[in-house]
Amino acid sequence: MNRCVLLSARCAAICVLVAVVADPGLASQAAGSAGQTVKYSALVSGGKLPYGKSVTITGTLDDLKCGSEAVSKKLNVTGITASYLGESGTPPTGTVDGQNWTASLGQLPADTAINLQVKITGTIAPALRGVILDKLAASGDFARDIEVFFQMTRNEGTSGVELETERLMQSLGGASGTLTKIVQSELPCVAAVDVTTAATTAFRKNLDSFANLNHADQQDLMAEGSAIRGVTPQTPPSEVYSLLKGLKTDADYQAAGVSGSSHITVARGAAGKYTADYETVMNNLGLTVVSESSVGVILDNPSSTADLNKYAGFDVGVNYVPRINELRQFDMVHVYPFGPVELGAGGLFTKDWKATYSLAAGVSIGDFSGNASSRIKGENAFVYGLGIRINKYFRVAVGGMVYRDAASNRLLNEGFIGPSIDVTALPGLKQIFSSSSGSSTSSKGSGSTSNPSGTTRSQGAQNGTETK
Amino acid sequence: MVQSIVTAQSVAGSGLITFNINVDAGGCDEDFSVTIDNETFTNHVKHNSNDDPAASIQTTKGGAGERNIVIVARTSNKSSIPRLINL
Repeated sequence: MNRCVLLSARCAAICVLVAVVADPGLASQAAGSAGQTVKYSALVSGGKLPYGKSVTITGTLDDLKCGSEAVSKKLNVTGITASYLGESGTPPTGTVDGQNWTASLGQLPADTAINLQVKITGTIAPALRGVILDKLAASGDFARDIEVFFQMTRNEGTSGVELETERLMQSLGGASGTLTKIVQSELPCVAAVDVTTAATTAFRKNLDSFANLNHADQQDLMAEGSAIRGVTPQTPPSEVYSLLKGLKTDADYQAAGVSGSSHITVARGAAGKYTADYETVMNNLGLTVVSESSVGVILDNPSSTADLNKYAGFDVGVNYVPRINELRQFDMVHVYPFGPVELGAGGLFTKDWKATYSLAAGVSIGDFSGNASSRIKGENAFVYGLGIRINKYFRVAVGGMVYRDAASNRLLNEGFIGPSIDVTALPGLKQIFSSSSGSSTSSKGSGSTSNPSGTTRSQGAQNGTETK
Repeated sequence: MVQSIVTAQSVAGSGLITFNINVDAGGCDEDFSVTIDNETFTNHVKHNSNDDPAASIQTTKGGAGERNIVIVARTSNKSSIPRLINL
């Protein structure tokens, strides 16, 4: 490469470019560098994820918000995972430690739109249970679910009741279940409520109540000698329960068609059994299921990974040399003296001024303005100076041009200014001069840590949409 | 005569099955039985029409867990509705 520079300034920039392209170690260093921790709050406020190394997201439970509401206000958070849409691997389970949580996201490609999904599991907080129970009680869907359950378990044995209970739990939970909808009305980010485990536990504890209520209990209310008027095999359990709750005194039972103290005692016993089993069933379906159900919440956060961090850029542009009145083409390598910078950064007056300025050197290889008698001998000149990035692609260069004067044969230096385009910012060339990994743009100083899971997950169907 | 047998239940682990009976004006004086795991347990019950309707059968199945039982009044030939109880 040095030989090229000595031979021809024109060759210099091309040699550098070829050398870098031929050296994949520079263009894209091997993965496996230390991971980086990113604060979730920084991502939510628009920060970008780092690329090329394992990312671990951390935060507090208060950071996890569904709309303006902290999820932890309504759920006892027990689990958390972070993933992104289109990811093909299984995200590792994160950790929740008191008010803090950590979740690994794996490695991400640079300059890519990322739909970050934080999945939270938990149980419904005590404060919310009462609200949900009230809504369950007032829910027409829930009432229908229960009636269907009672109809289907009529005259069924244990196995039939178990089967119908599972169906009832499915109709309560799942993506479109009654309980899920009610919980969603309180916390819209809820994806599903899994009631299976809780329901099974509750069901096993109170199998006799579930099994007897709609069969033996109801038949006993119609037993010869102590039949209560108004109870038929077709009477819905909720109506039977209301009717029985209204029977308090012997006179009430007599009014309901039961006569004789012994028969009233039998009827009262049957009514007590029915109401106790009804309340057991309803409490288990309500309180136990609600309190023990596992609620899944998904928080979507459109984000993107940081733009490629570049050590240098290669520009092609036009410079104007006022003193000799020439407009010339030039090719320059711009080196960022303060370390690699994000391509997306820039602007003349940006706060991140270190990402704006670059040291430049290159060659001017020809007149651009149709000058028939150029002052530059052999058409080639060395150019050097300072680059000022305007945006991702464009830059202004100022500096000096060293050339051999065609008239005097002396080596002269003239000032120039001119715009240029960073060709290494173009999609097909953007990995040239780039760092193999980059920092997140809004969480600098948050510290680095290795990926606790050590996993690398591929992006699968995620497209490579660029963030300009 | 026994008209009906209702609300059979058991305190788990006791093996004792309690139930209520409705009898007509003539009362009853007969055996009641329950069969659990192919083993039949019997108790003789004598009731007048105005007596406490409670009756019971002691079994040796305490702790056996959930069973579907039917209690039979042997002379009146009346049966309870099958009921799941935790013995």
